[in-house]
Amino acid sequence: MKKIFYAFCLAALFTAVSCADYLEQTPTNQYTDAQVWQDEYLVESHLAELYAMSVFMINDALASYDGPSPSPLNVDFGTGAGWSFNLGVSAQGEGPIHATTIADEGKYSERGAQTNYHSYKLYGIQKNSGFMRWWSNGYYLNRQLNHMIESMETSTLGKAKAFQAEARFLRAFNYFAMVKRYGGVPLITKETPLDAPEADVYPPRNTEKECWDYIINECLEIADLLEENPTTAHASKWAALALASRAALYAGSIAKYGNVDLDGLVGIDAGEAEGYFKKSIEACEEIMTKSGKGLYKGSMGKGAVKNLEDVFLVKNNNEVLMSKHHQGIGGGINLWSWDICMSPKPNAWSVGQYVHPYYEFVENFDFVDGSSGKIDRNTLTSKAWTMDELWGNRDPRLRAWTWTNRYHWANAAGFPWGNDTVSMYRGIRLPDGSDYYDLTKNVYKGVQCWGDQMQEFATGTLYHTGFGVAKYLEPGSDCMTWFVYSTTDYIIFRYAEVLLNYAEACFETGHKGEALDAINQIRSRAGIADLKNITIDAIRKERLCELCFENHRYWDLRRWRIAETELSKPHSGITYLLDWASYESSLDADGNRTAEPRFWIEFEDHIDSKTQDPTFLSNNYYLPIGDGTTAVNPNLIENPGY
Amino acid sequence: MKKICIFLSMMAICFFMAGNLTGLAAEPQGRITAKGTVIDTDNLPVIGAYIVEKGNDRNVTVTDASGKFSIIVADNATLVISCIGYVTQQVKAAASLNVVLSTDKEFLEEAVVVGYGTQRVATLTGSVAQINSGKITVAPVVNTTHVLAGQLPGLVSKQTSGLPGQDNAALNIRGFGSPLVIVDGVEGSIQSLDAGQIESITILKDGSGSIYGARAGNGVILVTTKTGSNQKTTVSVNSSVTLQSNIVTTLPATSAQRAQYQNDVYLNKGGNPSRVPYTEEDLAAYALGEDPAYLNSDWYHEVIRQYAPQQNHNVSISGGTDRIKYYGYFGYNRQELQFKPNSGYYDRFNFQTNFSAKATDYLTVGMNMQYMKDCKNYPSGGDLYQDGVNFWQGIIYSADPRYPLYLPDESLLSYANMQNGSPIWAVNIANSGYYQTNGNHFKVTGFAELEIPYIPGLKAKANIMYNYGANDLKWMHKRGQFYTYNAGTDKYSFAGGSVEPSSLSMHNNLSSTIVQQYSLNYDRDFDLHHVSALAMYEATLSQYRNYWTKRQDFNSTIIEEMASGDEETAQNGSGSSNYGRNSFIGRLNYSYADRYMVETTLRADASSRFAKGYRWGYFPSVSVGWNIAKEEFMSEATWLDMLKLRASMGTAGYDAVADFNFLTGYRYDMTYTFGDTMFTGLASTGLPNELLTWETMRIYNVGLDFSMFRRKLYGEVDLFQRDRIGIPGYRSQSLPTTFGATLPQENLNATRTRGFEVMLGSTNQIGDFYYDISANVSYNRTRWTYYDQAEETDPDRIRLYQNTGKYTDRQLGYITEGVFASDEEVAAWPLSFDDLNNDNSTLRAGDIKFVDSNNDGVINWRDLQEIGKGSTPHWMGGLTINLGWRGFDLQALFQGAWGYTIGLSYDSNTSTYCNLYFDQNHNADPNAIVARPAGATINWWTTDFYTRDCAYVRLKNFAVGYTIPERITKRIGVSKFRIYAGGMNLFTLSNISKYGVDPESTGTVGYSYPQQYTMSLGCNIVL
Repeated sequence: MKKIFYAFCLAALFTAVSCADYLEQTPTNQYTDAQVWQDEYLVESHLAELYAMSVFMINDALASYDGPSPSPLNVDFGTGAGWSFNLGVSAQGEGPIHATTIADEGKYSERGAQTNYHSYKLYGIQKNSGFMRWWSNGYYLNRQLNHMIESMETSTLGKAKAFQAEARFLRAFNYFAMVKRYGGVPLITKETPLDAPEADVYPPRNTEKECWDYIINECLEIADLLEENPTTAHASKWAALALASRAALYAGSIAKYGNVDLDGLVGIDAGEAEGYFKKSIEACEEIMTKSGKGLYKGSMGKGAVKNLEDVFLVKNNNEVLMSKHHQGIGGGINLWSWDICMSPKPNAWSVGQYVHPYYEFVENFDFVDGSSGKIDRNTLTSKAWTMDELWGNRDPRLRAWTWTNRYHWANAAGFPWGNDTVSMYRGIRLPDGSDYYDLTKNVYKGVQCWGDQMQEFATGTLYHTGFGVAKYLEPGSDCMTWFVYSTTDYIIFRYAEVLLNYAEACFETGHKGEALDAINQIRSRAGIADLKNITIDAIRKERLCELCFENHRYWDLRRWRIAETELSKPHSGITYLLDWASYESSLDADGNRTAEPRFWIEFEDHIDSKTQDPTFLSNNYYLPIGDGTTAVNPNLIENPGY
Repeated sequence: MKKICIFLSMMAICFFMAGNLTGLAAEPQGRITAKGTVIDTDNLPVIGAYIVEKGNDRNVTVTDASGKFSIIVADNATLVISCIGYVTQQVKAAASLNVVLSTDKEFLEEAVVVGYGTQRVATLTGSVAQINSGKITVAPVVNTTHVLAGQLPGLVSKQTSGLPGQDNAALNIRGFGSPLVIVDGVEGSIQSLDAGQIESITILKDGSGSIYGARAGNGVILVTTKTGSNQKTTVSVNSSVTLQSNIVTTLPATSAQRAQYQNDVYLNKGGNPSRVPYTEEDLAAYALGEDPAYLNSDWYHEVIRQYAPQQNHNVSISGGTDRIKYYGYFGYNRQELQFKPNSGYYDRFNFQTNFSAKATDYLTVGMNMQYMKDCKNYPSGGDLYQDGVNFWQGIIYSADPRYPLYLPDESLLSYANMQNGSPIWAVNIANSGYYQTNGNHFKVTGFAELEIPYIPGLKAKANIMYNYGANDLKWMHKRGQFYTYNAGTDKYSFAGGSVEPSSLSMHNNLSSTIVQQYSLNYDRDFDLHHVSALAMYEATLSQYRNYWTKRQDFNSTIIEEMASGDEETAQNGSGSSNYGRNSFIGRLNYSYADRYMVETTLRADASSRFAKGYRWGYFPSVSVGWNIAKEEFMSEATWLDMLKLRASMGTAGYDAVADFNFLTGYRYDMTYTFGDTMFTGLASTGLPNELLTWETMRIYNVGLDFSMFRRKLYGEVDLFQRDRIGIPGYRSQSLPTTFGATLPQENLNATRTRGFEVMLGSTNQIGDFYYDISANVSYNRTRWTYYDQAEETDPDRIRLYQNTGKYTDRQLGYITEGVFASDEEVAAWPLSFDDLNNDNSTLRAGDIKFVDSNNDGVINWRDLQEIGKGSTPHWMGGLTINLGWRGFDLQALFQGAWGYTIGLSYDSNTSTYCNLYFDQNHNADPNAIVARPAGATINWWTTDFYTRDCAYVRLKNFAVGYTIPERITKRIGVSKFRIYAGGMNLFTLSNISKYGVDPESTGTVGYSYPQQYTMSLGCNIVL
């Protein structure tokens, strides 16, 4: 009986649990496709992701971002934040920096993990280096955009058409990033299904002309679908027109200055140039006449320099056509790492002062009366100068957007005169003309031998050009404590660029008067004398000065096809030396400083490398597609020269 | 040298104590000479049998070649006669004796744990290796994974970090990848157990693992913990104290070395020689280090101690009758970090209790409860929560000795030109904050076993297990501010703050698993036929949940709770996942006269990770064995204990793919701000793949086990092949990137691993002297049999990048021949680099000299060759030695591995200077291990210049002990009292130790938290 009882118990237990169905589980961390497309908020969240994945800032970042899986693209801010994560991986800091340092605007500071990238400046970009690649990521994003555009086509959501237009803008912007690199690329405007015919899966390249036309036409089409005045974070009608004007300008100059090769996969027939320039002009004119946007002058009351700084600090000002918004802690975090990369303060771990503008770059900024900024170098080294003598009368844009010795900076030590200024002399020049360099003891008669901002550069094993980048820098930000902390917005399109696009396109089509007028609008806002005559070189120089450090210069030099000469030059920097005589004589009876300090200037030539000057390879007008990519798809033809 | 001294003195203490105690032995009175012969049941003399006077175990003799012995003993003495392989006998001493020893049936019938049961060694047909508790607890260890290396043929072990609490040895079986670990029947981990809790560890290397189905493809490690047994109550106490220290470290560069290095960099960059940063006088002053302006601060010894203490204590109680058996265990371990005090520790508490009771003649019920709590308490900075590689590097090698340890104003922290501000600050929990975890793991098992009446040999069993884990983390970052001091101007400058603003984050992870197992077991002998069968149903449900919260900007850190942080900075999040599995398991064994054996298993597994219709997988295996020694025709060969041929073929799976890969979806990802609203973006998870299922492994194994002369020689040989089919991969390798999707993983690729294992051993007792020595060696390496990628056409690209047919762990790089010794040599060099536009003008003496492997006059990618074999050893060897003499015992385990490489990266442009650079004559030393600092860009390329062979031999475990004779200890009521001295990693022979790199570390520079050697003193007491 007992046995039967046990057997029964056991059998009962079996029946009770044997059907335990643990196999039907639903995910707790994801929405299904169907759920997303029926909910306006979820669609907008997906759209936010697509914006975040777009090339606004990581534009020209590292090769390590090229590859769609498993975690693609740029990462702004992570909960697992650590040193390398924030600094090494924060593409938001690195992207703009790379675009700047590959060009002739500035030198990478050679500190930190990216030292290797220096070699691309010296030796050019090789076939399989992957440097500045935007291919796999680009197509990864493209597919998601296509999927969204198609999903919105049949959607019943009220905002479906608006969402669709924004996605189309992002797609055009994404193609722009690819075409400016590679020339013609395969234009894929529908989501390719897995079982698509082979011809769709292995597409050939479209011609460069087809690509530019596609981008321009898309922009013009969606300009009428997009809202006129959403937040500047959203693509607006004006953003679409601004992209159209930029793309048409690129296409026009490539047609005019470039050569057609590979049956039009790269290059555009010269006869097309005029048409493109005209399209650019039309897009610009529409913005100039209808958008209500203009050059920012809201802080003019505080001076031209402050006004120019505020163009990048006052959020959503009337110059901004589109920007990537950043906001601080509280209700979420969306920040970037520009401040810590560029801040002049000395720092504890080799960050800050990442980009050093070259002296040759600085020479492009004329004096406010319009006279040339190029000063005879022998004159410069012949005497000691106050900073005001050197830079006081320069183009306010130089003073607003770069910093150098004695630049006002909150809490910087500022020795030997006063605080709150950057101090970056390196050595002391004695009255007998000899230099006192004891950088180890760092003292001469009770005075430091080098300024606090030269901490990393004092020994001379790392070269400093004497200048830093101040555009976008929040006053008082520092590189002493935290990485991803910049809350400034990153401007994707601003009105000044539209004026410059307009001026260039007008000049190229013979409308010199309009060109001159546009350039002078820019100059007068900057606080520098108007030009009397207009030349293509003047327009290009204006573009360099106005749009410096904004990821334009490298691409401009390429489309003008002058990178081979302009980016194959040695650059130099300057070193400041404290003038001892003026230091000693400036003390009054009460021990107060009565005069501004003077500094000697020394030039440091071949500052990129003493053994190798920068090289721009002629094939780098188009980046290599790469063996890995062409091997998978034999229909892709590699760019010439690789 | 120092460690040897300390070790010797510990040994001396041990022997001294032993000598004193044995000296107490008293001489008995009234003696006789006992003579006799020892024979076995076949009437053959037993040679080397061991005859001991009971109660006076120093009085011993051994039988000679004809089995004869003679011994003088007390006239009323009892003789204990023993020999390995026979049942020990006791006889009254007499002038003439004839002793017949019967064969020890257990000898070849030792049980081995296999999947869902045990099996006799004699009838085993799979490739299985096991070690038992005795060998696991040789020297005290905190991390139980450390005891396995070298012990089990076919087990590859690599301990990559020495950081307490994070120092698991990565284990893999036959190079297969991460194995399935089963603790007492459910998935678990070895490192969460105390070594003292473990009864045995078994690895299933071939088809014998197939019974674990979809998870078993990489082999299975079975851990069985101790239970009570039918014996009187035994209390056992184990206690040890240990000193641990770094095995190898490279000392950071001195001030003079750093200054010289900077001069080298300056000159190599083309700087003006008349303005080098440091003059000869500067260098000399730095070398002296006396002038306050020319310091040479020793940050290393300021924060690293020579020895960190460790303690291991445990108590267990076990016993039982044939109706009730019980067992209890409590263990405590503490390991301190190598940094100076208040720098953190790892603590672990293990608790276990179990009992089983025969409720009736047919029904046995029981319960097993285990609880483990561990606490990590580390300084907050760096990556101590992982392996501490960067932290160690950050604090030790980045700290600049040219800065003072302390400033004249002691309220200010001295800056050391590093990420963490100052090492002194960074290692101190009170200053820099902490990373504190509390792990709680609770596991309870209940079982009932019913012998089915009327059907002899049939049992039904139900097992229900519940596993609950709660891990919480409190991570406090405090902020430090660092200053430099200029003696000349008497001025302090703020040099930087610590990396983070002050912040506090708290995380909580909860996991639970329920496993239910219901089985029927049948086991019966019919004459010479033995049949056993198992049928089982198993269901598993795992659930996981976590949440976290964080605030920053603590204005005060007096109260270290969220409320003190800025609430504007509050962040939080959560996540969860579920996973279920159903399985049916069957096994059938048949053997005839222990001569012929066959075993088949079949498992059907279904996993919630896969789409309906692709869930179920079926994993059969079959194995056969033939014990030739039992054949009639071998009956003459009485010297042969066993000679068994085994062959097996099994299938298993590997289900380590992400959950819900078969569904497409959108997950929260990056953030983007529109105006005032920040959106958390929803990212697509990519295309779904309903076809994705586990990968399949097929494992073939043939083996030979032998034992002869009563185990004076025994061994095993195994040959195996594993085919891994359907390795999840991304077809993106062969689909153009323009397609634009994160293509789903598919079961695409295939590999084949081949290898062998050999184990040889010998054990014997010669008089008082007992030994058991065994050595093993194993080899494996894996090739891609299929790798999905684009078809290459260029012969060099085929050679380099077409993976199919090639080893999976090839490392490609350039072949080099040292560095250029002179600029003349550079000028005369006939080659040039494609990637430098064929311009050699930047090359100088001290740059790496490349070899034109394909003789085409240029160096480009076509010159790439295979320069390394991966970082996992292909060859593993072990040698275990167990010796006993009277009360003394000695155990040693040597472990070795070879056939793998690392790439050193003491490159010349690193910001962390290493004093190894100065072992060479700066730039142009032909034996240089680093290239010219700030030299040509080609020095950065991957070359064999940096590749080093990692072969090593290491004394992994060592202990000598002495057991005080029972007749002395029983006076104080102790049945066994053993004291021992021992240690781990006491010495290492390796070519790369001189670079400061441990051969087991993954790091490419010797910066990681170093592996430790330990020296312990302890005792075992059994009441």
